Amino acid sequence: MTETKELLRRGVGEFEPMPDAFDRVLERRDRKHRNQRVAAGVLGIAVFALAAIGLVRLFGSESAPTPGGEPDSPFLGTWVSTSDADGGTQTMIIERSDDTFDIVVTDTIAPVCSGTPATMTGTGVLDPSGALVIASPAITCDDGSDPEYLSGPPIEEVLANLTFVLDVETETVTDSLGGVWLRKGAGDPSTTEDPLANLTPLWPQTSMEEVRQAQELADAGDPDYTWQVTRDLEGQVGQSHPADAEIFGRFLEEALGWEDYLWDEAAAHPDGVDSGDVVYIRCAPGGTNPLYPDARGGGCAPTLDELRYETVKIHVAQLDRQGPSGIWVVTGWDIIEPFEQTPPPSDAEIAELLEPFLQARIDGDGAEGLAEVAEYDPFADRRVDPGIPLLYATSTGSSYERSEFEVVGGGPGWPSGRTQLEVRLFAENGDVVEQRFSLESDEAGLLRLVYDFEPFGPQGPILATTENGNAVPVEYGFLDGDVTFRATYPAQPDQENWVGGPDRFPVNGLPFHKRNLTLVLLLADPRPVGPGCEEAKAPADAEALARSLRSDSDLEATAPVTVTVAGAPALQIDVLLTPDATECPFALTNISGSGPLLVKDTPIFEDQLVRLYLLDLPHGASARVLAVVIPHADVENALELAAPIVDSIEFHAR
Amino acid sequence: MRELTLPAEARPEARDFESFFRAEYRSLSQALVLLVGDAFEAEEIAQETMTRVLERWDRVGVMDSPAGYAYRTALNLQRKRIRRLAVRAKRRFASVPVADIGAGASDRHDVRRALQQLPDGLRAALILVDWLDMDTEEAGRVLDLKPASVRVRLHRARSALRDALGATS
Repeated sequence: MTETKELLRRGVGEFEPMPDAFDRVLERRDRKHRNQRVAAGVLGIAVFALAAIGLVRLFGSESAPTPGGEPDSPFLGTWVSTSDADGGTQTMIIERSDDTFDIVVTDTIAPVCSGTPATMTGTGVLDPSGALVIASPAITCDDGSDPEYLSGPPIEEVLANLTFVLDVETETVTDSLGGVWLRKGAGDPSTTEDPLANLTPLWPQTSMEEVRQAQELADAGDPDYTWQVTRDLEGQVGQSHPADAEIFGRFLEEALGWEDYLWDEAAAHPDGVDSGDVVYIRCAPGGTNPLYPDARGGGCAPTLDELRYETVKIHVAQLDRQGPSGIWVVTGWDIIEPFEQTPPPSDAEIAELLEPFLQARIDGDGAEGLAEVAEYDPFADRRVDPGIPLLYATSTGSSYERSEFEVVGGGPGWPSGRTQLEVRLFAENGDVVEQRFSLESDEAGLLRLVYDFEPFGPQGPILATTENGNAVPVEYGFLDGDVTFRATYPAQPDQENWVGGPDRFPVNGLPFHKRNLTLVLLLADPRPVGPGCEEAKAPADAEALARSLRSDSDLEATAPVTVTVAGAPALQIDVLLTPDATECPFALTNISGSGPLLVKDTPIFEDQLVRLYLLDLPHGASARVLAVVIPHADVENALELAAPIVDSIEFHAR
Repeated sequence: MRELTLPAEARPEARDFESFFRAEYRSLSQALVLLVGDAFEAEEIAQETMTRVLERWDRVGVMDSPAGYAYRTALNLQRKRIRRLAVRAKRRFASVPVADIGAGASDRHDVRRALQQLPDGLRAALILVDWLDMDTEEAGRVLDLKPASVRVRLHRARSALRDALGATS
């Protein structure tokens, strides 16, 4: 832990955020709001910014639906990009609006919006030569962020008086930035074969004008449109979650024709999905997933083959009004790499892995290689035996004579196939050891039997091993094994690296305000702190440490009482802070600060009763004095809970 | 020792945005330096993250963990960074050389490079837990993972980082 933190600290180096960061955020927010107001009702176009650097591509399409049924201008209709350089799709809709034209361009991947969808809007007029000119196009990023303009003149200057020239013969539009557009469907036979290809990028409305009208109707309470309002959707789709918005289901059913579909966290974040994208998988209509008939998602059968699902990424945005009352529309969608479920292990596969393992445990030999300990074991370096507990015998040494197992947790989990197993081993003396294992596939699909020291069930952590229904004590080592002790769940080493260090070993297990507090803290050669915060040398023995603590003017310490710990004499002292105790700096692995200290780097607080047992370590140990600290001796039943740990302390001579 | 606990508990009680910003921004931007390997882009993402938090502060401010929301937003923005060609182009012209001068620069470069070699998910878990001192449950909420999955990622990330830096040193 210490090492990793130090490495990361080196990685940060001397970086400090800019001093005016807060003001910049305020300015950024204000600028964004200004842009959104300016852009309201307009079509934003990342396309144009792309064009400015020569990246505009052609558009292809078919018949030109002319909104309002006014085929009075050859510009009217939908114009679509066929080969956007960045893999996105750019679509332009031109509609009549009295004497002007409304132009909306959408880009599903806009580099000026960090690759998220963007929209450009503008009002155009025909100039005397017949060209369509947009005086002031405006670009907005659909996720509300500011377009990131490329180097060069301001984007407003680049886009000003954007001009489109139509070649009637080839039905090609060329814009003044070099982009070339074709009518949707023209010149691209593949699009006509796909019934979805004609879907406009906006749904259920197909133009900005329709969006504006729909917003008004939704405001008026028209139920045909109010379903497009979902109050808290913004934050949810920002995390790629659909919440309970109707727009997704309706789009999937009405636009894509999917009868059955599923959103699931397991499939929600494939590569290439951005904030604001929501991913759904398609389920075979009316089918049960034959591989997971009983599992969560078991009703969702794959559509492509036995394992793979059609998968779609949908992007929604509020194009007219943003906020809780704004309507949502689909602004883009893509069929993406199919999501794939993992087949669950068969009964035969489970038996093939588990039975030899259990038989080896009964035989008393050869079980080690047949199961793995979960790759991450938070206490591996602290546990005396890092292997599977009670592998060949109970805690009293009784061998196993038979075993059984059952699949628990509702069977294999969809879609990973991870299967939890409860194993029972019956010992000759009648004891029963129960352990939780799981069957998991590795990256290559190989099935493994895994023991996890910290299994997690639906309700939270569960015990990995019990004996006759009780948690089994685990032995931990301190000072390279010079000192060992046993702790029983929920008492276990503190995982937080800020409290750790080579000279200290905290054990949690004291519930307090819903947090685990340190129940016992082992300190090696603790160093007293002087009145000026100076650090004293480590006392030579426990008695010297006791004297030093008693002479500390910041502490009220009881007279030492001799007791026995680990079969050796120990000095028991209770300590409280005095009022106005001196605050001294401390520095732990990941945190530093200042406060009244018990000893070096060990802060305590007002009214905190601390129980100490001070012991001399055997000759040859890597420290001379061991302090067993119970930091919250007066909290709940701390002393009672700590007693078995303290009693189990053993010294191991080298 | 309870006052010492996680930084989340040390954060100010006041839930106004400026207090939140002052308490979190430095950590956020430093974490992003580690995450993206570039101080300019890190600060850019940190600014955008905080702007979004500000825009939604009426809802975010009452959450159990506004910082968790901010970090989740930052991670999502960071994912989009892959396609931030525009920003990269801008940086090439506009960035001012940072103080990567002196003996620490090589160290810093090695660590950042090693971090960038980690898969995104591993890097994020490592930074949330080992740099920001989140516990695995809190990191799990940010990453949408179970605590056990965070621990697995942590373990792999630490091993990979150690291996990578061992190879460079």
